[in-house]
Amino acid sequence: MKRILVVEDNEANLYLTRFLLEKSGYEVVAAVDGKTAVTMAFDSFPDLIIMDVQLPDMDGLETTKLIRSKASKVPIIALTSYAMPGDREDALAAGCDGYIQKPVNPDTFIAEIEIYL
Amino acid sequence: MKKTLLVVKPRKSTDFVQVRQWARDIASLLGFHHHELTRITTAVSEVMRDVAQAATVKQIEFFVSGQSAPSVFDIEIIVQGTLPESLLGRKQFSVEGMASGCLAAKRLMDAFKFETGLANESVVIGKILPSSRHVSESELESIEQKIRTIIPRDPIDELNQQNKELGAVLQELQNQQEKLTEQNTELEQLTRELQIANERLQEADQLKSVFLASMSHELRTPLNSILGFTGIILKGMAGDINDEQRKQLTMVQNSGRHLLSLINDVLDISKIEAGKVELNISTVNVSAVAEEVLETVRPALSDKNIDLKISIPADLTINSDARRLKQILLNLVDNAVKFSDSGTLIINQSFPDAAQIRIDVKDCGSGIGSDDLPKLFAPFQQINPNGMRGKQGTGLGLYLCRKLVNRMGGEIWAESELNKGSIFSFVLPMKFEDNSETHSSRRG
Repeated sequence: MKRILVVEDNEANLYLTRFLLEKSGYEVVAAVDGKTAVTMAFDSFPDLIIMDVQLPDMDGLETTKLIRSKASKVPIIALTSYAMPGDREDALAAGCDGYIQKPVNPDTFIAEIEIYL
Repeated sequence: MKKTLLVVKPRKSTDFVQVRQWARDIASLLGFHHHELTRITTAVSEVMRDVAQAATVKQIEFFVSGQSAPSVFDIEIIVQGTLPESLLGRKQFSVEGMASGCLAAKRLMDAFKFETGLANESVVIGKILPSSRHVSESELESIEQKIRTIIPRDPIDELNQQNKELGAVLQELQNQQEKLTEQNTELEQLTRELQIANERLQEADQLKSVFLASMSHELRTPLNSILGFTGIILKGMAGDINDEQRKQLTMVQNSGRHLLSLINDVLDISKIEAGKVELNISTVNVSAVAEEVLETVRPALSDKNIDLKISIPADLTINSDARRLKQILLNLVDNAVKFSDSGTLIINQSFPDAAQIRIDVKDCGSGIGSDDLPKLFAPFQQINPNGMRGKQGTGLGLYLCRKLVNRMGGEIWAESELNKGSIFSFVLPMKFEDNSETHSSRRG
């Protein structure tokens, strides 16, 4: 069973993502802030990280940079409700492999993340 | 009738300076105005100069003559002995040989004559009173009273007076200079204030953009779970639901989507208005964009039994922003679908000239009245044609289209006739050239 680390501070959204992933047979581990996410990126051996961009301590892009600086090659998908020009580029520049814009579409979400697995 | 107003006997040469001023004062009291006053005083100066050169002036008499209208203001300059030939000319009653000052006075005044008395000879110059009026004896009495209060004056006074007037003029000039300096300072102050206000506005604008960006984020975060969970439940992923629950959840989903498009449109418009829309210019295949739009609206087309015909050559490319072109076209097609019940929608393309492409979206809706056409592209203007109540929209779609088309160097408009459908058209340059001032610091 593949394990996915979901980094998300909003409880409802975390539940939503977890629900969709577990329904599709994935094991979900969660972090609600960047610092925990960095630790878990190494300690819980995820196959994929879904990273919310806005987090309470450091943002998702900072977190991604930190994970990449520790030589992790785990695929990271940024999940954000920002829609400013350049957000996609910023996410990729920080070391993300992909970018999914909120709101999540339950019909296509799994297919979108499976590209990176 | 002759009423003497003033008699003066000049004792020293400076008294002649005064004669001019007295003539002005008395003429002014008699009602003469600017030009006339100047004529009279000039004539007095001219005659006095000539006479004083040729003879000894004994006395000068100012009087008003005339039994009936018009009264005449006379000034008589009386000399000792006889008037010399050099002054009068060879013939007394002709201008020939007359001294130049006397000639000038003759031209400036209404009357000019030489008089020969028993012991004295004199020159008399006269001017008819303004409006050829007649002044009564009593009026003259009061004028004489007034003259007594102002005359005689010392020539020094006259010079002092002129000095004073000059001083006043200088003072006035100085005041104006000071006022100008003051106004200049005020202007500089205003300019500084404007600069500060401008900087604050720019800051506020910056804040607005940041605010809108975070607003958009904050609003989308809860929408993510609203739309996500409604989608999950409607798909049956969370268990079975009955028809009524499905109906109501679909309404929640539609409202959520509507809210999302409102947020997106507001964000887009605020970006455009802040000049922050960066276009991503590349070679765009127009028909491919139209096909993408078709894919997006396909479910709505089959729901309503509408056909969409795209007549754009497959190899037609322009130099523009593909995502924005799709956004515009999708908005127009979406509207066309919304306001048509059945029939065929057409996306057409033509070339107004070599530099431009025109795209028409033709619907088979109920049309728009000519009164409503101008309102179409204004924000929050929703037009409800016959029987088209409750069509959901943000009221921002066409406004956004206009802003985008303009940003992309084009124009957008609509033509319509009630019950005959509408055509929404826009032109874009074949090759986009950015003339916007997005990143320029130039000030208008």
